[in-house]
Amino acid sequence: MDFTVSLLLGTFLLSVAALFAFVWSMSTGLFGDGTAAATQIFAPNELGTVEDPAATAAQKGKLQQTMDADRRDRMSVADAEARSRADGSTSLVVGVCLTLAVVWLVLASLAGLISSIKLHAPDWWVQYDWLTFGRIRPIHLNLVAYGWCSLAGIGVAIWLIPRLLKTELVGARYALVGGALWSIGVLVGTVAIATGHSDGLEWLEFPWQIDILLVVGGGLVGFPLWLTLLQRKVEHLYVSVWYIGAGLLWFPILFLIANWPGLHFGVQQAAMNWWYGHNVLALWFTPIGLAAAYYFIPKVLGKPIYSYNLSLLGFWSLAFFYSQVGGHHLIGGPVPSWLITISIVQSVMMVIPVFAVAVNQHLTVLGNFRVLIHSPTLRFIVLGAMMYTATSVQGSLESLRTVNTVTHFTHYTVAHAHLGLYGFFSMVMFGSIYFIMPRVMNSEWPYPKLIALHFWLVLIGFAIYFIWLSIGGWLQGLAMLDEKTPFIRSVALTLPYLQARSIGGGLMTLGHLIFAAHFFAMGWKFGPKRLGAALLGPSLFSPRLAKGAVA
Amino acid sequence: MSRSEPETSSPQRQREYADPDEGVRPLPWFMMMLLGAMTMWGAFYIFSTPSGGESSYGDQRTMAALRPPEHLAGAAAEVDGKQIYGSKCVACHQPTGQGVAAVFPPLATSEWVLGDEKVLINIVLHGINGHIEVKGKQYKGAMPAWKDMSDVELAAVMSYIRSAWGNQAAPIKPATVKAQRETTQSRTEPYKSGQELKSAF
Amino acid sequence: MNAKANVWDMDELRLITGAMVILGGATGILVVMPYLLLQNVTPPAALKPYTNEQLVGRQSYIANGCVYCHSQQPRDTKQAPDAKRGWGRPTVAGDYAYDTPHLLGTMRTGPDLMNIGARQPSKDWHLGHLYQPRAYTPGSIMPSYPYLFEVRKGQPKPGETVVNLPPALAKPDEVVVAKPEALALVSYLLSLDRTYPALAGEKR
Repeated sequence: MDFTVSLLLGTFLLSVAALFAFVWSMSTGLFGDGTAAATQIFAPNELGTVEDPAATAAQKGKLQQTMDADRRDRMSVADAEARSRADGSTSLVVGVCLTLAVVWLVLASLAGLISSIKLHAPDWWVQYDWLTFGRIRPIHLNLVAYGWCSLAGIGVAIWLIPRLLKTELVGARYALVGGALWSIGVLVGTVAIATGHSDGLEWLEFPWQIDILLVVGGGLVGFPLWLTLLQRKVEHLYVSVWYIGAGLLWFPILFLIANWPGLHFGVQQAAMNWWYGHNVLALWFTPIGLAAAYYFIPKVLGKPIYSYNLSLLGFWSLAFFYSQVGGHHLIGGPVPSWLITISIVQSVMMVIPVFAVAVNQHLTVLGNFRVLIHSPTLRFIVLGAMMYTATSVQGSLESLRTVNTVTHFTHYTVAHAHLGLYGFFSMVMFGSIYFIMPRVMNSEWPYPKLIALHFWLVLIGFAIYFIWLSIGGWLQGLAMLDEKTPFIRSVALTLPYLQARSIGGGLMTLGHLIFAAHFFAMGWKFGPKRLGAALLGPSLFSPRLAKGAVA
Repeated sequence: MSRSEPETSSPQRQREYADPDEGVRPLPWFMMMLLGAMTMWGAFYIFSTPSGGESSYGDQRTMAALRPPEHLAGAAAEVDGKQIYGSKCVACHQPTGQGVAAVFPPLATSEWVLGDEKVLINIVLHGINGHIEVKGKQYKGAMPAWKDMSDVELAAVMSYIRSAWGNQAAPIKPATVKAQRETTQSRTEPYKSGQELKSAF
Repeated sequence: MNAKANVWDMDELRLITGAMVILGGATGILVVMPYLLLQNVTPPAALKPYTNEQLVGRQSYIANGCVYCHSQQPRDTKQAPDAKRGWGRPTVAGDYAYDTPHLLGTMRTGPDLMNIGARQPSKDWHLGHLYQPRAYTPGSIMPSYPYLFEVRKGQPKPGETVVNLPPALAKPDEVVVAKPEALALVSYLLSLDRTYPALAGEKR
């Protein structure tokens, strides 16, 4: 065994041991006999207040009357009041961030659809340089990543943190300016790519001068949230807070190191590029997506999350393993073997956090799958959480050298990337927005049927997209590996699959247009003045659900 | 101030459950098993994967491929004319050997390919930049010089084009290429036309 | 059980410390170590720095997003038949000594271009192929780039480069002239040649 391998092995075993020890040090009842299962971690004032008549002030009488009887024991008046305060402090900035996110979503979808069509209609719209595939494709990626996903994530994070901490947002106006600056950065960056001023690295196309806008904007969002965290009124930090808090620390550091001008060179820059590229998912989108899933699944069901210990293991092992997987994008490339090996190992180790999260969330939902039919929020989020498991397991397999040799450089990887950022993250964001907006606007979604339409369009569209592109990409990879097959054959055979992808993408785009129309109809108070939660599915649901917190 | 007097009657907030909390449960036994099994697998993978070697050479390189070709034992025997054609010639002359009208001449049943091997060798060695008539049609393109390729490779690819697409002409020997290379050593420019080539030989 | 009872409960101090140590570790492995190990790699003697025109062309390669379909990193023969397709030997870090930003790429919707200059040294082919890829490679799905060319009636001005095109693409009374960007791009493509031995001149 040579020196590099021993060093690698020693580092791996020691760091994994340190990680498990760290998780164990924070665990509670890790080795209990299971009878402790009924206990829960409660924040002060969480339980029982409503049953104490002394605590019920006269002005809360109205609330007492309107509160659903079967749920009274689950929510205190103080709780409801803290929630109202928290929401009141964030509604403007959350509304603005989510609105901008929806605008970016629509533009990003159109850019994606154009890119997709261009791959099987290469002479379509070629006369304009800004519409060439090599520009509209990175425009699509950047609008999705920094426009839609980041701003939706920021909006959801700003909404969740004050609620979970029962503390009003500190410095909401700074967050508002931050969200706006961020959006301006995305706009200017997109124009830069369109006019041919790209920095040339995937995920890092925006010129570094424009990145400053995003750094300042992100800082103005992050600082208020961390200040809120430090001034919080509850002791215990719920798992969603860990994910968001950590993500807000990680992303600025990643972004700053990656975009620092003149620092990186040649092959080292390639290694850095994928350290960043994968960590945007690992340490920014995934934490926010999981934070939302960890909040909304138990929230909508009115159940505690299954296990604090699983949350803990899932969180820390995700951070540890996921942050080192970037090298698997360069398997077979001019980068050191040891770097590839450690990235492959950590990619496969990802099954630990993925199983921890999946088990934790599945055991929370267990027995309540009926609610999925009716709750738009839960439909999107539980589906998204399932796709998180799927994309992660797929990613672990894809990083193995044998599989990667086929899938690397093909459309299979593109399909996989969409399973993560669309199937998981975007679905979770859709579900979150359906829950959040009625509380931001203090009004209801006007057309529940449009929610169902949105759901089915994007689900069917994405299924077509993912399944066909994965098959096409796999066949493309096999053709490229066969030296007897001319290269052009690997191009020609993908055509039907690329066309199918455009159809799927078209359905997804249509779904987004409907979602955006519904979103703005709600914003402008257009449409019928409905009352009660927006429920989906057949009307045979139980009357309890009609009053439930499903949306 | 609306903040001191919150809108607790908002129906959207009222119908919610309490914010979520966590149950305290031990890790399921299969999670413990998974942790152990995965860590063992990771250690085994690192142990069994050759990850050493110079970092700057890249991921799992075959050292012979990085050294000068002289070090490759039996390289000459492995040269495949069809493969060279597929990588270097096919873009212009096409997989069918038919070329591209008016720009890149055909090789299939071309008098230049099937004729004097010396002429063919010199076209490939030095290139041609200008008009050339092939099978009664005019072409104006630019064929690059391929003298950086070895005699063995050039002989193999010319022998291939002399035998493909219905062509039937004798293969070309590396020694013949070598001889022509030495004879025309002083030439640095491509030929200017088919005419010039004809008159040269 | 109350959260306060457990002094080991997750708090902000552990959150910040843990998050930073983990990110630091990942950055150390994936960014800092390659930086330290590769910063002293010397460019191979046979590799020439890009000329000004080639650098302008490289910028055009970036601006038009060629990297989204073309890689520049042939793999080893024991992994994939890249060399047999004529894409060249596996690359080493030194081959990229002048490549900032790196253009390794992640897709092979089109072929690898690390050695396109050696494989396809015809300027005419490149210009015509950029103008209309399908005239040269039937079935190609590469976009055509008409905006890199100027099509007009009459004769070319002195010093202009006229693209020789098959008759199907050019009207007899028109000339297709390559814009400077197209010429620079082709000049960059022709400079892509890493056929020299990677280890020549290096200590063994």
